[in-house]
Amino acid sequence: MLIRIVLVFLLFVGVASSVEVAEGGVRVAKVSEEVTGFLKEYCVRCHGPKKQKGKLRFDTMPTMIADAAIAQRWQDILDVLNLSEMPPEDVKQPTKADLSNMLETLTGNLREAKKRLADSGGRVILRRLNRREYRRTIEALFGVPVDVSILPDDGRVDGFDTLGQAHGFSSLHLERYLSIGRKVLDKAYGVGKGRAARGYKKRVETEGASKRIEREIPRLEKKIANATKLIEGGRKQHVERREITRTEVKLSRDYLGREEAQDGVLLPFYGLNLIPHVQVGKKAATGKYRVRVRCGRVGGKASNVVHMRVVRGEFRAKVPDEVFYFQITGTREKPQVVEFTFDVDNIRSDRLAFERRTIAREKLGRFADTRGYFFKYKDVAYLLEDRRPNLWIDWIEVEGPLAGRSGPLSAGELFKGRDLSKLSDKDARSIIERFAYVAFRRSNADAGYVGKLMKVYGEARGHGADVREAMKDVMMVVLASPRFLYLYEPLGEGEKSRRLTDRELAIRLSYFLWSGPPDEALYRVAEAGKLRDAEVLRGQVDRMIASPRADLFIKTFATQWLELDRLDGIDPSATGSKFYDEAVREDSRREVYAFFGTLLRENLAATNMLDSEFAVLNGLMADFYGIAGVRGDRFRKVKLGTGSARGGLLGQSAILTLTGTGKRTSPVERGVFVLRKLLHRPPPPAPANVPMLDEKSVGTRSIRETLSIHMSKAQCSSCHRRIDPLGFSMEHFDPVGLWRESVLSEDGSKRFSIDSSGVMPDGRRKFGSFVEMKGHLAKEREAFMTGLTEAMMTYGLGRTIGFTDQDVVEGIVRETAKKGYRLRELVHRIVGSRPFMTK
Amino acid sequence: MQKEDSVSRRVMLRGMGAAMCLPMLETFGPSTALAMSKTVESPRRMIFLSYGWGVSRKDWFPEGEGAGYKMSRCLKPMERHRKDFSVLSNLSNKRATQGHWGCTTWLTSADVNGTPGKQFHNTVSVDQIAARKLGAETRFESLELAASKEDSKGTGPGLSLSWSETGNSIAGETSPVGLYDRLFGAAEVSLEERKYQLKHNRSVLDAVLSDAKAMNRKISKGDREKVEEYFQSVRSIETRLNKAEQWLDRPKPKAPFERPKGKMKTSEEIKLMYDLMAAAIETDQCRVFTYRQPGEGWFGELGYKVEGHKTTHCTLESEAYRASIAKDQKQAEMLAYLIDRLKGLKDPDGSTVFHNSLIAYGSGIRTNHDLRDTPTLVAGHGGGGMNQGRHFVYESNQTPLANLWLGMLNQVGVKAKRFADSEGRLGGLFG
Repeated sequence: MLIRIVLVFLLFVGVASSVEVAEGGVRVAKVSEEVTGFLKEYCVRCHGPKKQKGKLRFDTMPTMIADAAIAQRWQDILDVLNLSEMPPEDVKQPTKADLSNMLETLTGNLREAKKRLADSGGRVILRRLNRREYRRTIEALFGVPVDVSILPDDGRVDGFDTLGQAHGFSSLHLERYLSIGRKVLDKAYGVGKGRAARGYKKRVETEGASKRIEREIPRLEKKIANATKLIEGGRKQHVERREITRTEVKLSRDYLGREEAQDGVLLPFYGLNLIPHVQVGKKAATGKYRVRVRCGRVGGKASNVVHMRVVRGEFRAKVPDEVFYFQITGTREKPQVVEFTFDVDNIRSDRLAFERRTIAREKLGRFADTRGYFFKYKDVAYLLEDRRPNLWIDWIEVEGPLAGRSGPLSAGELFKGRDLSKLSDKDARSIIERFAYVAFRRSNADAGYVGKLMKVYGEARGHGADVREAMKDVMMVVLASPRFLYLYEPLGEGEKSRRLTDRELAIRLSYFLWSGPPDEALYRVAEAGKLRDAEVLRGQVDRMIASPRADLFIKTFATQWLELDRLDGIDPSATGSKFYDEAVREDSRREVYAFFGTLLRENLAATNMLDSEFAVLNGLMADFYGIAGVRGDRFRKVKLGTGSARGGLLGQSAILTLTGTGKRTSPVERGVFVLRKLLHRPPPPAPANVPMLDEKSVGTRSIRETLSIHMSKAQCSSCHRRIDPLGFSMEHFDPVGLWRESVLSEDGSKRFSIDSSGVMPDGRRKFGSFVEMKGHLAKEREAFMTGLTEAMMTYGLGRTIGFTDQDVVEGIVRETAKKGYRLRELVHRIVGSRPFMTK
Repeated sequence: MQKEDSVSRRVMLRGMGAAMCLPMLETFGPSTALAMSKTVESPRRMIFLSYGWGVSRKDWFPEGEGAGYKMSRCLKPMERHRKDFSVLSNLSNKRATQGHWGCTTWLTSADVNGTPGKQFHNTVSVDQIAARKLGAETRFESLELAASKEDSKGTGPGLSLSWSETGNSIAGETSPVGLYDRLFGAAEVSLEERKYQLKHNRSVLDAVLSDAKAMNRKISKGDREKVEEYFQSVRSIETRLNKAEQWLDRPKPKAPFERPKGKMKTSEEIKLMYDLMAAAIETDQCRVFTYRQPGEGWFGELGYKVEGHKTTHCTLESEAYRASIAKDQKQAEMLAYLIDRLKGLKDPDGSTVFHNSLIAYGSGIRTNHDLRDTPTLVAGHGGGGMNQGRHFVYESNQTPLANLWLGMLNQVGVKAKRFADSEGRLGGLFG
């Protein structure tokens, strides 16, 4: 027993130190002695000096994995062992534990070897603007929004979309960059005679609904009369329908009798579900529109339970284009005005419909009526029981487009003081040069290139185009040219590496934190040659993080690092939870952004992600978790009691949900998530080709029992013994992240109490509960910070972080540790690191 | 300030920007390339179709061997084409290692970890090699289609099935509407206008190329590869321009149906892509296609609430397995439909397009992350001389899938001796 424990411990030491310096000073991975020992014990008899069955001999295999061919020979051994093809049954068999340890060690050795062999030596490969960066760049330069969905998808590495190595370029790209550039220019400079698209401003007084209902009543009464005739004629099937219509009339009358219906609309009213909507209209100008809604709660005590759900989408569209939620804190007596903006882009629907949303799953369906409001009577019985507060809306106002920000290339700026109708070719050239200079991030295009552009211009003019149209032909070319599309950092002949110039540093920085080009202030600092001054740089980074432009960084990095888009695959209605709906799913993502954003902007310890004494919540998420006293849509820090399960990332619904199917938890996926994202110890992917274990009668068993089969085979247990216990510790969280005390078997026939005890991946530290597990986790600050640092560097540098960077990463973690692991400090350290400052 | 002709000018510009779809390229009529081609033989075509998560393990592969095999449950909808396709059992990409990568190395048979200094390096896919020969006379050398990222789970890295000669993923067209516009989108304009646009677009390419060249002078080795990709894309459009010039005075192909609209269900999306492939063949705009099909959407459409991943990890009695069978059958039904379409198209010598085509249909995953003995089906006669209508059972885990790719290349006239880890042309299927 004692020996076993020591062995497990040694094993870890073994894996960690299996790197040696080979001839020529290159560090390569080495196969551990456990592995060679194992081979000697069980394999060499047939594959050694005496016999070489299958022409294989293991005692002379090189243990330094210096190239892919050697790696492949070891991989072959691993595959055969994983498949239990060897050793043959009639010879001495390894114990399960020996085999398990051997498999884990060799898998680790080979991963290490492959990583080392794949090390690119820390060079940043020329990267292209990805779709997000293209959109941001266009917005910054022209002040116009652009729909980038026609651009091909961005390739990704380790989930990140900023890596040059994955940014392919094919003829489809070139076609699409030309065509999207044309659209941008049409939008920025107008088309044809430049007819100004119309704006829109309208206030809808919602009491119109009452008038419509009033007008409906005679029609409904006629329907009742007709039905009565039919019933008298023996058509009994109309009895039920007549009852429904009668209820409809009664409800309509009741509704009209309510005072709230005199000056607004009440949503819903028992079975009567009115859904007011507004539509900007297809001919309206694109841009940002502001929506204001005066509304309040009716009935119920002071509560959080009422939200307004605003659905953007075509009438009866299955998948809405966008959904907004607002917690209603006003009342009819003291109404509030909800305000938000949305982008009208002529691509997504411009129709907004307004509904009530309450936390228990809303069962109100929609049933279209011809008059543009909706009735639904299927669930009459249920709805008549509805005692939840209503939403009352007084009016809805839409206005837009709001004056957009202008950019250095918007018409007003670029053509300032020029009369385009009388423009000489020389002036045209200077405008085009200016355009290219700004588009190329303040770098001059060379004369040869400008010459070619002028040829395009001349051709278009010669063919009858006016100045502006000819200019757009040229600009379209600039927007598809490599120096616009790529973040170009030239290297001289024979130059291996060099420091970035101030300008280049500014660009790297702004694409890191803003996904777009530098602003005037940042360029100015760079052009004054001051950006590499440590204090100045620090000041700029602080300024950039504080800017709302950094919201996109927070959202993107959190999403890509933590794989939040796995939530897209969760269908709220399929979860079976009556508390989880689309609103919770969307706000649970925003909770992660808000949490990460709070750590970054308030410069708190990044290790709060392992465990924290606070959560960052809005009213909706607080209600979902059952935490009292948080109202409204704004996310804010909420103090948690000591030992609360909600602290850290692992207490957040988004993380707990994305690791399962929504309907069921997956302790394996949860455990893997902890190892990958928090402990920086990613388990290898499940080996391919391993036959599936027999899983009969899973339905009646507990998940622990089902997964115990992982421990019955060495091929599985070599990894799952580290993974599964972490996952089991989180079983108190249901598939959507709510706390539970017991769990049903898959077929629902048995109820099990939850056992969340287990052992940490080191095989030593035991825990009895989730909170204890988190306690151990919170001590793994270094491992966590290393993983986070590598992830953020990967995203920020646009290249994979390899062994060449090990010292740099260690240094950053060490320095950040001195400053209490503060998250903003980490960003400063990354920005100030050698890899970030050099090409 | 505005000229009289600003309206017609606008039409032209829209055409030009609208995808450098090079509207004037659409100047040749149906079978124009055929008429121009010097060979009398009907052209060969290749279509590669794949998807993410493999197939239902007990119900996709047929029982029995040879011509008398028993059609499996999942392939039932293909029964009517029985004589025109074969199921190939036990082919494997032996160097594949990733149990979640159904499509990444399906057409490349590459060892993606085999290149020092690179974490991942793929090699050229078989369709691209075929396209060099088969695509020489058509407007598009090849067309790569793919489902959106969200709908491509279990396919592994890559933007389509196709990989360039430098080992980079070739972006797939993800929108049927986008494909329609590329094939048939631009407005009809006069010959004079077409001539101008041709010249103008050459100037456009010339300009972007000069910027790329300026960049290329001061650049590191790794970056040069990236710029090379850019050059490559310019060259392939140039080639299209040159072809367009030859067919300048011929009418542009008419779209065989209306421009599609709106959001689509998975079945509608695949059907539309198939229809567009057929239309591109009918107007002889392209002869080599790859299509990485949507997978995830099937389950919702067929009324199952399961994830694709789950369908590969399930017991035979589970809902997920039933969903998997339903998906396989639906996919087979769609494939049978595509074959119907191609059988309905005639080449100049009177043979059907289907007879002259080869369609490979399969996945790099068998089921449950099993990368060996993957599902493979080949339809069409590649111009004749093949042994179709059978179930071939090769030696398990021994026969490289690359043998099939080599066989297909040879069948369509590409004189290759080796492809990736091939050990020779696949026996049996190729007579």
